[in-house]
Amino acid sequence: MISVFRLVNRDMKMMLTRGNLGLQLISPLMYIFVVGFIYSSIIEEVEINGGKEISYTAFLASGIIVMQIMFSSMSAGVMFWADRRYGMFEQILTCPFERFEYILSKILSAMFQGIISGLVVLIISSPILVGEGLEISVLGTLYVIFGFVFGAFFFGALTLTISVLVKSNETFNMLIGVMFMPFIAFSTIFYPISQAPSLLKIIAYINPLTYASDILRTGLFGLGTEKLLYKMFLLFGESLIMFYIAVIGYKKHVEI
Amino acid sequence: MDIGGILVVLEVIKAEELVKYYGDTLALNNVSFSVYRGEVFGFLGPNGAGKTTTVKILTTLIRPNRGSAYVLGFDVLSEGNEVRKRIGMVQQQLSFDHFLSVEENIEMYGILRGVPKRERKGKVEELLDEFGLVDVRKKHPLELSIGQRRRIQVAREFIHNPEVLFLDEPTIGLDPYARRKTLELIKDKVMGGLTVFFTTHLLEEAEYLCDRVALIKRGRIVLLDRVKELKEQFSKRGELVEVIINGADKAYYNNLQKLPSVIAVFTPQDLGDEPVSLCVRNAEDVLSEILDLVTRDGKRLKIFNIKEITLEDIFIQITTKSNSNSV
Repeated sequence: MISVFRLVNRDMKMMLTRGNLGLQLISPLMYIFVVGFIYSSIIEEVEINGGKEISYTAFLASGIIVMQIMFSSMSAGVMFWADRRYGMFEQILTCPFERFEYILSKILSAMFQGIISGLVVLIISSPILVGEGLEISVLGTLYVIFGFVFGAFFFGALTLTISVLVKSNETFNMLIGVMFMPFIAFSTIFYPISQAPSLLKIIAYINPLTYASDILRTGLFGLGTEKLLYKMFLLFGESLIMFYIAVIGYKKHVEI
Repeated sequence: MDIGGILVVLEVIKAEELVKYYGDTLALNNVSFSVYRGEVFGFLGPNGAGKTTTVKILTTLIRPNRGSAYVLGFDVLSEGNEVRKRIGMVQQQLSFDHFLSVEENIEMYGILRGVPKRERKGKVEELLDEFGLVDVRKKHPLELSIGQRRRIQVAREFIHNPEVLFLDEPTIGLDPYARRKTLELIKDKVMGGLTVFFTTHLLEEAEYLCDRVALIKRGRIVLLDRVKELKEQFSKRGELVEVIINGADKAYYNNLQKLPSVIAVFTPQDLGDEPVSLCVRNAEDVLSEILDLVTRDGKRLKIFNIKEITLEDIFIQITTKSNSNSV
């Protein structure tokens, strides 16, 4: 397993630069500090997790943290394509690594990146969250960590799956762009599920982004443990299934 | 071989009846050979002959459909990781971490290869110096020439002191100077007793670097011997001469095979100003026969050279169709 972390170390050096991190923060900060404040004049308060009401800015900020985790986790596929383009994919496979370790390393790297950039957004948006009843507890922190880890793991595995299925970097970029919009739209990032029409609710209930953001909000605001275990179980299960699909896709479609 | 309880593996690479299909295309057809410790083994052949496929099987990148292969006594199919720990591989495609500088590239490769930090730093300095990369150590590979990028690729393979080095056409895309420089660097490193498996279609490279060569054609090994012995063997068949006859076309050259001293005629695909090679029994006899012929036909013999046989001549004789009397 130590060898996996050698690969992760390399990926971190590639992706986790100040420049990359800075660029990644532009969009979430715009959402929280511009869109959030403007919308909060239209939508005053939102009910979350069965009872507690928070401002729309705080609701959106907690959702945007999860969205940020999702976008950062996309780097799994990006890193895979960069390795192929610059000839490092084959080169790495002649080093003492099992192929399984290579896939796992890409997902772990994406996960770490997702967690780090999610944490940065969380810290930056903390003044908003504190003002809205942010509750710091051991259990809450564990929920936040769970949401971060498995949200990032799922989307890392998903982008890696897409990257092994498509034949060009251009198709990969296009697909990623198209695919993530429905994930966001059919989730609780921008609005609570109770406000959504019934068809959207059904789709939102199978969307891991919904669970990741619900678990995170529970962890941050300390309410709504109702069905929490069920949500955690689903997010965990969906992440494992996606990882399995990534491994199978890699074995089937990546020919050297 | 067992000497006083120490197992000495003389056969560093062993391929046994390797067969590989890509879809319906047969890429390797019962390929078998052995490479011994400390030798530079050239694997030669035209494009698409099966050279890279063989390297990929030996470096555990792909699996054969049939047959077996061992590197340093380890089965490439079931003990891939043991093989990968002990080999180095310079692939045809340029490969580097574009986001890292030259020295970081070499160091990162050391990390991937599991070289301990205390050894790594010194080794990086040593390789930068040996491969002439000190001046560009802070630059990124994309800022460098193809030759310099190739040097990074070769240099980093020595960071973990491999026992076997696979070189898959390592000079592809380089100008003659950079090619020679790269080969010289490899040759210097090889002096230390490293075993090298070297594929190329550039025969002068193989002649410069290799102890033994195998020639692969359409997935089959058609020839395998020491370079010196191959040349001697082919010299026995006759001498090699190059001729240019003013005003002669391909058909005219092909007709030379009818001369009693000519064994075979090798006309280049695109004749142009290229000389035509003739394998002859005796160069002096054939000179007078050609002179008689061209005088009779009102043509002029422009060039007549007696050539020392090279690996390239052997390669051409084997891989191209010749108009032959008795080869």
